[in-house]
Amino acid sequence: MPEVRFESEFLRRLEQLHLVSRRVFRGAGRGERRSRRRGLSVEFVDYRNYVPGDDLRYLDWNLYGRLDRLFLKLFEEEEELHLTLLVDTSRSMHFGQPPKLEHALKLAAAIAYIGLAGLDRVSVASFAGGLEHIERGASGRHRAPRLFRSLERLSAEGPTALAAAVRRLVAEVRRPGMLVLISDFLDPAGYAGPLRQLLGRGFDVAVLHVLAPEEVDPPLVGDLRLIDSETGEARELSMGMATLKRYRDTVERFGGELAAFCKARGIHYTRALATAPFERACLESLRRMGLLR
Amino acid sequence: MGLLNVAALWLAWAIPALIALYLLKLKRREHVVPSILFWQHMLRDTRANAPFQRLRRNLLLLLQLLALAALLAALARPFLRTQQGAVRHRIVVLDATASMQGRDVQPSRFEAGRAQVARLIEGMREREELMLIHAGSRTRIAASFSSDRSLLRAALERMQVEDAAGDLAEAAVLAVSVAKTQADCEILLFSDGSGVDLSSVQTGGVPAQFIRLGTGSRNVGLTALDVRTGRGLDRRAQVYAAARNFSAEEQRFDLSFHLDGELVDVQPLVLPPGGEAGRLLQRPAYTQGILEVRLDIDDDLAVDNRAWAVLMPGRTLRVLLCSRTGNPYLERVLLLDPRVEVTRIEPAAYRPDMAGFDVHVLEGFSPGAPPAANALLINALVQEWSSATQNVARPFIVDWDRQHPVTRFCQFDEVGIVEGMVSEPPPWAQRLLEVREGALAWAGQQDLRRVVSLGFDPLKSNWPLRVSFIIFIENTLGWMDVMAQEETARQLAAGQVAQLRSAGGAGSLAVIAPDGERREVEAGPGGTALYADTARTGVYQVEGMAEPFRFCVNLLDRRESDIRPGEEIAFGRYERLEAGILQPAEREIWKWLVAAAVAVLMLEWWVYHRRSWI
Repeated sequence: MPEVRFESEFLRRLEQLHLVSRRVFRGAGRGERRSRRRGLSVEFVDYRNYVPGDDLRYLDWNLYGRLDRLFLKLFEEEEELHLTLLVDTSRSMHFGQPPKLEHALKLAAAIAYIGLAGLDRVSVASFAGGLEHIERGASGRHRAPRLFRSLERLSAEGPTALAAAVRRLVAEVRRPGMLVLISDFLDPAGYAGPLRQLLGRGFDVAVLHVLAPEEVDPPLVGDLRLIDSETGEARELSMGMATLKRYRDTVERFGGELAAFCKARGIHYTRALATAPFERACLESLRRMGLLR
Repeated sequence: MGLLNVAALWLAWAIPALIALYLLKLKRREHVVPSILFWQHMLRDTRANAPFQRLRRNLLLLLQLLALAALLAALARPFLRTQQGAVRHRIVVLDATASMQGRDVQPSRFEAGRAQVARLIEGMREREELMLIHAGSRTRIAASFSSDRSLLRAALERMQVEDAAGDLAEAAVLAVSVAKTQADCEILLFSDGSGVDLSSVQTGGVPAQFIRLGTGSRNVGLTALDVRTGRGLDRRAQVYAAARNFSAEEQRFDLSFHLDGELVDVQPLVLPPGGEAGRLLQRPAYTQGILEVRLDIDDDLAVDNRAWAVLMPGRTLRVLLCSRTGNPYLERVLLLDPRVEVTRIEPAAYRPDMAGFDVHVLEGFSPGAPPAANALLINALVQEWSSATQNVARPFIVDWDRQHPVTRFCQFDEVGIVEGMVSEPPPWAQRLLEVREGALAWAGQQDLRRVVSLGFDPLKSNWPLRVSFIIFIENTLGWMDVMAQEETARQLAAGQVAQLRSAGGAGSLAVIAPDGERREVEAGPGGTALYADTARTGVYQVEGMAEPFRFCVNLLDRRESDIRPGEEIAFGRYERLEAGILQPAEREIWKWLVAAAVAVLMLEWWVYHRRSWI
C-alpha cells in the first residue's frame, strides 16, 4: 500500500503555492480564480464600446469627457477552478523503488492539496483498465485527509487503458477545467488519441510523465527473458552494452516524442523521475512544468 | 606453417558442440519489466530469438570459443618453418669422443648436443623419421630410422660420451651409406669438429650439416705416459709423462705422480701456447703398484688430466742362443743388455719345444718345426712359415719399415750384403726389409708368439759393424720381452680391446671397471678373452686370471685433447661443411597458444564477474 503522507512543513509550503492555468474557466461558484466572465469584482480588465442596454453604472465617464465616446469598464469576475487529477494505477506503475505509483499518488496528493487550499474544485480519478473516481469536486483544506486516505487505498493493478478512461471522463465532466494526467504512458494503444480528446473537450491539460530510474537505465545484463508486468507477454534477449544503449535511446525517444506532442498542443509536460526524497522531486517537477506560482 | 599433430583437428567438433551447448542450455534469467513496449523496437531489429542472433552479442561465448580454438590449435602442434627445409629422413651423428666432454659449454659439449637432438626429436613432424648414430671409439647405431619419439628419446638417453678417441669418419661413412638408401635424407653431424676430417668419405651428394658444439680451447692434456722397468744398468723403473698446452694462453700447473694413491713427486710446469714438456720419474727396480699421473689444473677437458700405469718389478730375459756359425757379434750384442741371460747350445741339441726361455735365437740352421717360444731366426728357415724362398746374390735393400718396433731407428742404406734369401712371409707377418726380389726380413705375431726372420747371414755383410745391428737386436729383444708385452697389455688406449688370458683355459673372467661395475667375459678356446668395454679411463681389475691382473686405460690422444672447435669439416673430396647451429626446422608455437588460451580464459573469468561489461 502506498503511503500518502506529508510533513506539515511541506504542506505549509504547498499552501503558499497556487495552481496556474493558462486558460480561465467558468466555475460554478465564486472562487479565487479569474473567470472568463467579466463581472462584478474589483479587478479591472478592459473597456468595450457601450451598447444600449448596458448597465450605466459601469460607464467610464472620464473617458466620455475626454473622447466624447461611451466606453463601458469591464471587471473580471473571480471564480473557482475545476481541477481534475487523473492518476495511472496500472500494473506497470508498481515498478521502481520506490514504486512509480507511490510517486504518482504523492504528486497527485500534493497538487490536490494545493488546489484544495486554493479553494479550487478538486476531482481525483484513477485509471487502469477503466476509470474510477476517488473524489469529486472537493474544495477546502479540510477535505485533504480524506482524499489522502482514499489515495492510499489505491494499488497498481490491471492493464493500461487510457483511451477508455478519457472517453468516460470526457463524457461525465460538466465543467472542464485543469486536468493533470499522471502516468507512465506505457499504453500499447498510445497516448495521442486520449490527449487530443481531452483538449477537444476544453481541458487545460498538464502531463506528468512518471518514470522510475530503473526504467530509464535498467540494471539488466546477460541472457534474459523479459516479462511484461501487465500483459505477461515475454521476450527473450541477450543484454549487451549495445542493446542497453539502444534501449536508453528508445526510452529517450519515447519521452522526447511525448514532450514534443504536448508542446505542439499547449500541454504542460514534465518528466517526473520517481526518486527520493519526494518533496524535492515533487516541487521541482511542478515548478518545471510551470503549473505553480 | 604446418601441423605436427593433424589428428588433433578432429577435436574441432568441440567448437560446434560448445555453440550447441550454448544454444541448448542457454539459461535466461526471468525479469519482469513494467512493459515490453520499449523493448519491442529493439527486438524487432535484433531478433533475439533467432539462434545465431542470440549468440551475436555474447562476449562470454566468444571468449570461450577463442580459448577453445587456441587450445585445439595447440593440440595440433602448429609450427613455423624456418631456415631448414623439411626432410623425411634425418640421420643424427652425435660425436661421443673424449673431446665432447669439454666443459666450455655447460654442462658439456655432449650434453648440449644431446639437448639439441632432443629438441629435434620433439620437433619431428608426422611421418618424419630419425636415426641416431653414436660416434664414439666405435660407431654404433643407437636407434635406426623411427618416427617413434619415445623410442628415440630413450635411445638418446642411453647414449653416453666416452673417454676414448674416435673417428667420426667411420660414423660418417655409415651415415652416408644409410642415407643413400633413403630418398629425401639429410645427415646432421653434432660434433665439436676438432680434428675431424671427413674428406675420405664418399658423400655421394648426400646433404649434410655440421652443428658445431663448443666454443673454447682452454686445455692442457697428458700426451704420453710410458713405463719402462728393468732397463738401464741399475734396472730402475722409469716413468715418462708428457703434457701439452692446447690453449692459446700460457698455462702453469703441477704435474704430480701418485703411486697407489700416495703422492710421490710433483713437478711444476709452465707451458706456452702449443708447448709440450715431459718429465721423468725414476723409482727403484722393485717398485710396483698403480702409478697415476695428474695435471693439477682446472681446464675445459678433465679426462686428459689423469693417466694411469701399472708398475711391475723388472725381470730377467732368458735367451736361448743356438748358432751354427758362432757369430761373435750376435752374442756380444745380446749380452749388452743387462737383463738378458743367454744360454748357448749347439744346433744338434736344439729342440723347438725347449721350455724355460723367453726367446729362441737360431742362426744358420733350420729347426724342423716352429719354435715354441718367441724366435729370432737369422738365416734360419722354418718351412711352415716361409714359402717361395729364393736365393739372391747381392741383395740391395730398397726399403724398410721405419715404424715397426723391430726396425725403428735402424738405418739400412749403408748395409751391403753378399747373399741372401727372400721369401714370402706368412700372412700374420709384416715385411721389414724389402729387396727388389721380395722380403729379406719379416716380423709377426702368431697367437702370443712373436717371430722375427732375417734372410741373410750377418757375417756375410757389413751390418754387424753398423750401429743399426745393435739397435735391431735390442729392438727385437724389447719387442719379444714378455714383460714388455705385459706392460703393453697393461696399458691401453681408451676404446682399445684388452686381451686377457684365463687361468684355466676356457672359462669366464670378471672385469671390474673403474666405476666399480663388474662384467663377466667368456674366454674362448685357448683361454683368451677379449674385453672391449674400455670406453672409460682408469684402472681395470681382472679376476680369474693366473695371478691378480690390472690394466690401465688412458686417453693420451693429442687429437682429442686439442679441443679447439673446428670452423668447418671437409666432407668428401670437394664439399666443406661450415659450422652452424641447429635451426629447428619447425619452431613449435603451441606454448604461445596455450598461453593465449589461459589469458583468454582469465579474461572470460573477469568478464563473467563484471557482467556490466557484457
